[in-house]
Amino acid sequence: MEADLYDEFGNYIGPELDSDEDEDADDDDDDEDQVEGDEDGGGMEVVLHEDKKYYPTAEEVYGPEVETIVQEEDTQPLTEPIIKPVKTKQFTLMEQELPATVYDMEFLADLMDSSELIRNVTLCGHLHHGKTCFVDCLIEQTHPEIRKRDDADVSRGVGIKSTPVTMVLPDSKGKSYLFNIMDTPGHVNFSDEVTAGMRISDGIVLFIDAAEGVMLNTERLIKHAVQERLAITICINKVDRLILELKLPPTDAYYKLRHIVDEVNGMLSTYSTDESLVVSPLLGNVCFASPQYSICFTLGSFAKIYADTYGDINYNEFAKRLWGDIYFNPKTRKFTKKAPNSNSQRSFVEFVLEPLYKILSQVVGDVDTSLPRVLDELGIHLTKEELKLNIRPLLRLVCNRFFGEFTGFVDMCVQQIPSPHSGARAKIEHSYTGGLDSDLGEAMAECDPDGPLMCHTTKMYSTDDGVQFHAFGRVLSGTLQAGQPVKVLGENYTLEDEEDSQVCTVGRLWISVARYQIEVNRVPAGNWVLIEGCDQPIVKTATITEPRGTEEAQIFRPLKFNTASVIKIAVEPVNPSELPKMLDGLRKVNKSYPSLTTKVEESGEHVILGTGELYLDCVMHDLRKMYSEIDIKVADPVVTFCETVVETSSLKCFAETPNKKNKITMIAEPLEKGLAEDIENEVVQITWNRKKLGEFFQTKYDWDLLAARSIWAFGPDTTGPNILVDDTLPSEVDKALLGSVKDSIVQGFQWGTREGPLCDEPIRNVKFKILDAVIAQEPLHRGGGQVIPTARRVVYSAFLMATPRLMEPYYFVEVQAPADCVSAVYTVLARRRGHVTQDAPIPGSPLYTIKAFIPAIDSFGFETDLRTHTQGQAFALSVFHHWQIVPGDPLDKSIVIRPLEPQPAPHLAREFMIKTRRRKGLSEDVSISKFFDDPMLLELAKQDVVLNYPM
Amino acid sequence: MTEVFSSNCEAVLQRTVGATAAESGSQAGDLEELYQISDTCRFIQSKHFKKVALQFPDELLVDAVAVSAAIEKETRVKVYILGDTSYGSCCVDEVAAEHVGADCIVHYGRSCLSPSRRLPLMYVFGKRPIDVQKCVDTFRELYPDTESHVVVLYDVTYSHAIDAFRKLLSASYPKTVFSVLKADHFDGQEQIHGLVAGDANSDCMDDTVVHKFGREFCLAEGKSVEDYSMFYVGREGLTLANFMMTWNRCAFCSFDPETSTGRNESININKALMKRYYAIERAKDANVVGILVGTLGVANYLSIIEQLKESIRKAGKKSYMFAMGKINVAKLANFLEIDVYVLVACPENSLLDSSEFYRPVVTPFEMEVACNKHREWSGEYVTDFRDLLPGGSSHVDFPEPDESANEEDITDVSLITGALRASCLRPTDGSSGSSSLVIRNQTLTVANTNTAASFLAGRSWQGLEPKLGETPVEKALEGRRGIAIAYEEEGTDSRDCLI
Repeated sequence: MEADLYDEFGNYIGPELDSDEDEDADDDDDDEDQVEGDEDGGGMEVVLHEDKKYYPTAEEVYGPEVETIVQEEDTQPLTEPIIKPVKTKQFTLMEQELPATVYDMEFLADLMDSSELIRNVTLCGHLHHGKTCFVDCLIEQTHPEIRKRDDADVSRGVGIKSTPVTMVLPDSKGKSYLFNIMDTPGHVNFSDEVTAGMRISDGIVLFIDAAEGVMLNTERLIKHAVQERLAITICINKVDRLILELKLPPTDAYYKLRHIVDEVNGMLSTYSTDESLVVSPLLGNVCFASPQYSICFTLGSFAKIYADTYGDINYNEFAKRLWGDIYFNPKTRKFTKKAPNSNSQRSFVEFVLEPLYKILSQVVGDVDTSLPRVLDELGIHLTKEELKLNIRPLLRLVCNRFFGEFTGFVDMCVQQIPSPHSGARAKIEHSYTGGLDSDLGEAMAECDPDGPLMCHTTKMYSTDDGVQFHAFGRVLSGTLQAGQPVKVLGENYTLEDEEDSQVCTVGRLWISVARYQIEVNRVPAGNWVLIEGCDQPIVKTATITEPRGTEEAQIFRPLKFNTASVIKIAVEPVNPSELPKMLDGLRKVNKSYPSLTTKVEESGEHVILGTGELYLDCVMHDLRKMYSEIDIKVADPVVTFCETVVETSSLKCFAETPNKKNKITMIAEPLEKGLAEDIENEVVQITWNRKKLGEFFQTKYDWDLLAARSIWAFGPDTTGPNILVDDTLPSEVDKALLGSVKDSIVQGFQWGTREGPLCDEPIRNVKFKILDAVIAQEPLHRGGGQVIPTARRVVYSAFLMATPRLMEPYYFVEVQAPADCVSAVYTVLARRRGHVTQDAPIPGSPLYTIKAFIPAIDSFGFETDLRTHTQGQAFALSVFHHWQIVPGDPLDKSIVIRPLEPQPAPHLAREFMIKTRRRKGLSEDVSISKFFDDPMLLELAKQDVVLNYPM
Repeated sequence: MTEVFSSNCEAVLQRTVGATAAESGSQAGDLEELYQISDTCRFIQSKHFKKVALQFPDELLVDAVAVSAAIEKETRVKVYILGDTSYGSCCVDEVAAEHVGADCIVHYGRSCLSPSRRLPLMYVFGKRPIDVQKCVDTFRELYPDTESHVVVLYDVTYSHAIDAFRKLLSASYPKTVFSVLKADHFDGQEQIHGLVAGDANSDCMDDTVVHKFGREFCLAEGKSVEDYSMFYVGREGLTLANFMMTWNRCAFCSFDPETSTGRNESININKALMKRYYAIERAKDANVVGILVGTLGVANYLSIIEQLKESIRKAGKKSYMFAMGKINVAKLANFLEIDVYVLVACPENSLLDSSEFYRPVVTPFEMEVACNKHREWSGEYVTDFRDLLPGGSSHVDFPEPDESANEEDITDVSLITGALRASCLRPTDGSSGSSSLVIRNQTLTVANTNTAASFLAGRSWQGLEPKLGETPVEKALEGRRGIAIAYEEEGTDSRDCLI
């Protein structure tokens, strides 16, 4: 004990002692040399009361690896556990181990190498037309142990995400093919998923409900598939409904089926210029199915059943005589085009439908007495237990035994849909932005597994806990190896601007089979693949290539959706400090939904743009539950608006630059009908050369040569529905000078059309003509700073002089309802400013189809409203169709908008404008005078232009 | 060619100044009182200043001659008038004063009270008329509860009436506090006159005193600013906007003495704040940032510029600096390569509504939020850039580079365009980008790839045309002598444009 550490009373005055923890730590160290420690310790020191240790510390009791938390009283509610159990989030049902399959997984992996034996197919169709059910049948046939699906989609009754399934399926000759099938959602709100699936497929199988026929989404899908240049095959599904539900006689059933085929052909001829694009059971691109009872056949596979039973029949020739107005004459045993007698049936009815009817009616009708005999005749043997099954499972079993596996479907796909090898050229031509003449293009067109790596990803799937994303796509050339470094090119990558690219390392690779994934170490060209590890730089779609050696690689075109996101909701975290969490969630839903847009508007709100109510509902669910787990406030849904004009500017509008040395004169007028859509759909592109562009406008829209040749730009971007035309005459205006400020004027025009003067919404369907321009001689005086803002101002003033109007998105609605509900549908539609365009009974069914238009802004809650008014008997689907002008003058100051009152139609435009401005935090009314120069205002006064507008 | 570089002189003369002339008190009798001439003279004489600069805003410039004459007569010192201030007349223009070597400044009219650095300073706010009784009535109407916690703020031009206002109210509203004007002191700076001398809130605890924007008020114990409502006396304008942004959690009411009406202002605060959030997102998207120097007087403006440059560089963006007085749309649109501007100015002038501008203009705080990962948008808003500096109340350190190494992996998607943010894709060390060599053509010439140079090459106008080799070489000539308004050989008759 050192004396100078203590005072004369024995109180410690030395330096501060180490704290307890440090001593503990020292003790641990000292344990090794016990002897020395004992000598030092000796138990002789004075231990102060507060330093005494009565209990072992938690660390001593539980060991160093256990984290101990001491909670003060009342700091946490009782309901909340102090130590929370580790929560595992699981949002998708996944098999933990590889299930048993009828084929060997090794065999599947081997098939991936022979691209001739692969088929990439998208199954699509209208809502509830049985796509997923069909896939279930296929899975059931190949996976004996997997039973029915019971995941979220089933309890919801509708699919929202497309599901890739890869499996080996045999055709009718027993040859195995590798099928990559994309099961897509049928609801129109989720057409974006279909688009993503179609991009990586070579063909589609379009499912049509035999009873409902061609519906809204069926038609849209046909159009889309034609645009995407895919092989189209048809599966007429749920044929049992004709027999068991509608109870149609076989002849009528035939008419019904033929009507469907005819309707599809009608649409094909509308949307396609290719005359040879026809579907018919005779061509082998139509199959019939009823997955509920395990029925699937084509004419060929049905004929083969005859051949197998009776032998010695050329079933291919027989199949060719099984559709159309062909009759079998039992006397001559020949097929004839004319009915041999008045009550003879068409061959399809006689040889296909009647046997089908018989089997179904036998099983449904008389199980106990006659069924065993019939089954015996058909060579189907059932055990006693099996015979005691309920009707549906029994029917399913019988049909399964009779029709066998879905070889008809396989035959159809194999024959009608090109393999990745033979379909590659068309695919690349359509989706690749680069040329085909390069080495890379050649390799892709050849689907060469030894070529340079090119992979196109179109979708992102989140892991089942929603933490990470895996990119899903198709390898177009080369072979993707697990663990390989790759370069990911984003949608904004071009050869000139290489910013949007990143080198990253591929993690594991999988083949996705709906509920489980097969891990593979390499994926050759032609196959679909799920990629781990390179999701970070991908927003929607991406091009994956090799990090070196493929410098000339360009990207695959971003997806082109057949629908538009016009519904807008603003979200905000309830607790403002959780904003970063919400942003992270937004980033993730943005990846997960192909056509979703999340952005911040000028008002500072986070808005989500989606295709419809159901879509946004799903997005919000994912955002709240899956990706961020926070409370989120949602504003009432609104729609996006557009601003347009309906007349030509009442006078030439001009504006001077601030330095008074340049003067630009413009007028605005509406575009020709259909032109805006053509620009948006890239029917015409600004990048075309002058001649081609001019010809397009001259021939299709009757523009004069001068105007057609002097189109400067589309706005707000290259696919924007506005046009800037230089309509000046060389005799009046120095074209060279004007050319020198072209860039600046175009920028001002694009800036102006991006945010219109009425309520900062984009301008649409307007043509701006430059009529005159005085441009300063000195380059200094015509700099961008002078010209750009002035060009924007003159765009605005020309716009405002041309009777400005608002435009709103309109939905196309298809309602199915029984006859007695039709009037109620009219009532509901009328109340929401909707109007009916067509109202007709569905042939062969008691239902009516009503087609109508309804403004999107009045469509919120329409479905619910409709069901209430029809006791749930009417069913509606709606999808964006077109833009339409809102009635009324948005700038009419005499209109007083009273709160909480429905406005009469002529007041709507003003109401929408003011409310949008309010939401965006803009001043209540448009201050028009700021877009006009003083001389311009004088001119207005002189010409006595009546302006009821505030100046 | 001379016209290319300067604007037409006639146009300058005909240009109207956007000021309301009605505000001046031109009657001779008022001058003495309105401009506190005797006070001013006392200030000048007490410190024995030799050269005095009088800074007038545009709208008071009409009285400048009379005021300066009066002061000159009284004190017999050299008086200079400063007008047409480059960076907003609310700030003290020290640079202009230094041009004439003045040793003190008298600032007239409305002021933002931003601290300046060097010269002794006197504020003369002027006295705008106000109906105090109306103001009191409005206050009672807006705050029926006499126990309400209210802070009274006011425009400096109404400071003369605040004592009267306080007398009428303080008895019935015990919980109401009145702010006093009190500028910050800086080392080496003399006392500022015209503001409250000494410590008016000496009876308060230190931690309950709020001092911002030259205002000081003292809160009741245990209360924070959020618990108070704000009552503002003055027209709506930059000052009120600035207060509302800073104390955006408080309810604001205002009384406009011009119309003698009061109103509730709270509705617009949130909207305005959210609009600034949009500005931050734009700033995050930007690759090239222009730093606009909009002040040469506010203390520490050099430090904030340095800090901005540093954080912009660390965020992988490029910055350019612009010194620009009186910002307008045409001036900023001259620089197309800039994606966003950040304006360094006094708090009141920083909040610029940039919707009319080709590129958005943000405040230093917004730029910091956009660049600094440690700073998050929480609804707190800082208009005074001095709070962002090290030691300031809202300073947040920039994350260390090594610590952010793994954060680098997280890519960010622009919330404006939906595209990936470029800064995430580019390597952060700027050296590798600009020094990489690529082969230009077959003859193996190497060229330095530089994005700025390629942008310049793509422009239709690349600056003045030097016309190298096209102009014949001439011998040097003797130029003009004299100053610009009258060169020696010009004589008097040639000044034709100055009518």
